[in-house]
Amino acid sequence: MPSRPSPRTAALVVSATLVAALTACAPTAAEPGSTASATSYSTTVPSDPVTLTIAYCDRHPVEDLYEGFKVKYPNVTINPQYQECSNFSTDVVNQLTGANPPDIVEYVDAAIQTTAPAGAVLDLAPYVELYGWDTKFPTSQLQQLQLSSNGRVHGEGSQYGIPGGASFVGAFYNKDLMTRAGIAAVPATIADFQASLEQAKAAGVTPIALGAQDDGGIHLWGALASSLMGAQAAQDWVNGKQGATIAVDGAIQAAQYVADWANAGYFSPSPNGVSENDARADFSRGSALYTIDGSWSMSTLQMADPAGEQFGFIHFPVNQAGDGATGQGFTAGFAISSKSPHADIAAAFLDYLASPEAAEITVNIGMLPVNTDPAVAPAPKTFTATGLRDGYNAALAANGIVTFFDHASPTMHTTMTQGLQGVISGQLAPSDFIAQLQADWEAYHTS
Amino acid sequence: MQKSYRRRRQWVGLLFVAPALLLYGAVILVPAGKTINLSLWQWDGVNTATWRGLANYVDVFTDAILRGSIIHALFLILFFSFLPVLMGLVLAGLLTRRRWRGMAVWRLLFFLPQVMPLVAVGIMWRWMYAPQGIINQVLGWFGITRADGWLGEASTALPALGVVGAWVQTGLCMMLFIAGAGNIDRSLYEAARLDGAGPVREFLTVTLPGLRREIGLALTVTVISALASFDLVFVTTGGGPFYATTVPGLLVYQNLIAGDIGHAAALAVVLSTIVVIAAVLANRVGKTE
Repeated sequence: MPSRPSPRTAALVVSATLVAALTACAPTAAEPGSTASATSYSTTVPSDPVTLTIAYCDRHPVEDLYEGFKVKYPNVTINPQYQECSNFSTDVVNQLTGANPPDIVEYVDAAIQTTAPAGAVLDLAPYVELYGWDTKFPTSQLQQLQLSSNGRVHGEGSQYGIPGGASFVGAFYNKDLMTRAGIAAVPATIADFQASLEQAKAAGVTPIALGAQDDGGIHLWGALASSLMGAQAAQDWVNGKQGATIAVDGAIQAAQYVADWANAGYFSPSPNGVSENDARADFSRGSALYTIDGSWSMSTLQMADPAGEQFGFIHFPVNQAGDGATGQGFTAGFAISSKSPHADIAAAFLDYLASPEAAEITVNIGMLPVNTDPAVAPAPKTFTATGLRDGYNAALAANGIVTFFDHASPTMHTTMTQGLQGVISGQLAPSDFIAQLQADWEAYHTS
Repeated sequence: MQKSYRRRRQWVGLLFVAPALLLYGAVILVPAGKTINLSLWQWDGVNTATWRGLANYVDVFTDAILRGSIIHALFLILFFSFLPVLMGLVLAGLLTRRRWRGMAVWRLLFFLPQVMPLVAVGIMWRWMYAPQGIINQVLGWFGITRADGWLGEASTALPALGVVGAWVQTGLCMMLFIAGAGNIDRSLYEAARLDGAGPVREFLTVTLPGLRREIGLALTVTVISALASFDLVFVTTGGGPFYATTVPGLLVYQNLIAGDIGHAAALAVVLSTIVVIAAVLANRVGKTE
């Protein structure tokens, strides 16, 4: 049977044909609706029963807020779709470009950067005008949710999201340990801060609880860099503004501090071997004087200290006395799908997020309200939360909020995490670390 | 007449395998083809793709982090594959020599790590390896004080992950070898004993050759798990500290979530090729003739 191919050959031919047939064509995703359904923008909410679908992964603030919204608009049923955070970005891309996207999605920077250029996300600029959001939300918060037409540059172009809650990074401190170390006042400048670290170390108190295993201690370096570079230069770089650079003395100096403090033994043991969560938990149990962390850690601290009296919060110390306060932060925002048939109602929900009712709900669960107007936002109830609010407001007033540095490019989180671990372990020189960051930035923003 | 019958029989044969072939094509060949296609483009998954040709592959082979990740994966073979096979052989040799009381309990204990999800295993070991974790505590009882976490130091992180892999895979190898040893003709042992062989000699001349197929299988399965490792690294070190534990699977994932599907696909193709080559080599061990 010479004409009969062996089964092995047959299988190879079949496989090769299938593979070859597929390798010839360009990959395409499902075409997102380029024509937005919301051709007219209005603040009127129709009274017919409608269902609004919201996809989100951070439990705050949606679950607490949609109940309040339902009181205001009883005809609106909210269908909350909670999704796992670890994969949320990919999920949002798939949903927004899919056939039946949710009306509202929690604003995930990376996902919106990919889907907005394809026309899948509604430009909210007309609503900003109609609802007067530019007066209800801090300008810097709105800018964080703006993107250029190619999706790569932040802080300009279309308004793709509206703030739903704010996060802010600063220094949490342990009051008892501060007393034990004999530190008279909370540090105002980085020099004071460094002196307090030395004082704590001498008194046998671990100065900083640092968990760098999963993010390299980005928040510590970022806090230092924001103060030393100045908020504007830092923000320009994160935004991807043409010609911006991180290769400046302030950023290198910030990395040098991290290296020096690691050398001096100011960090909790083996930062590269401890996760951020574990370091936070250790801090909440009184293991260290400071931890540089964000407002999201409030829930962990509240569990350890329900009265909210044990831990204080300050915005990270400034470079020199008299400098404006800075701090990293990002708004937990919301975006509307361009395919949503209920864009007006979705916009009404986003407007509700700026209301006094929403602010009260947000403050009650220990978070920062987006609308910081004292007439709208009720006073925080604990010492820790008051410190957080004051620090945040000081940075806001000084135009000092800097988007997290790892938003600068899609690969920046890995580059920063691994690089900072090298700085902490002494394997990577601070200036080389900064050069790696700039190389990553340039690969993305100048390609 | 006979010719046409034969031809018909060929077609009938194809008909029989068609359901399996279609299924295999749909779930294996089509996705594989798509991955190869994606590896030739620069694409974020949504917007217009740009043709890159083989440029993604050039990057794969010139990038230092990536080459490092392949070396790490090869290093992990020592722990995920060679060590478990050795330990499995020793355990199987001990457990099959005579009937032990509570044999089922022993088997269960050694097999347990294999049953647990690797994510849970990873989180458990992460705590054990922590600076104040149980491993450093136990060392402390013997006067060895270590303040550093095992996963936090560049020199210990990868071997520490390797130990976890060895712990997981040993049970699998042991089970395979115990099952295989059960198939060895008892008379061979009797013959060896009559010739005056001790336990070691008996193991080397009867058990080991009799387990050749199982050893080949164990090597194949564990080598693949070493090269394709992802979950363990993902939940413990995330590739750190300072790229000390990056593995190709992790980089595929990181490229994917960074919206760089072309590089992720190119890497996946290279990784798959290495896995296939390694699996074929490992399988050779098991060939009896």
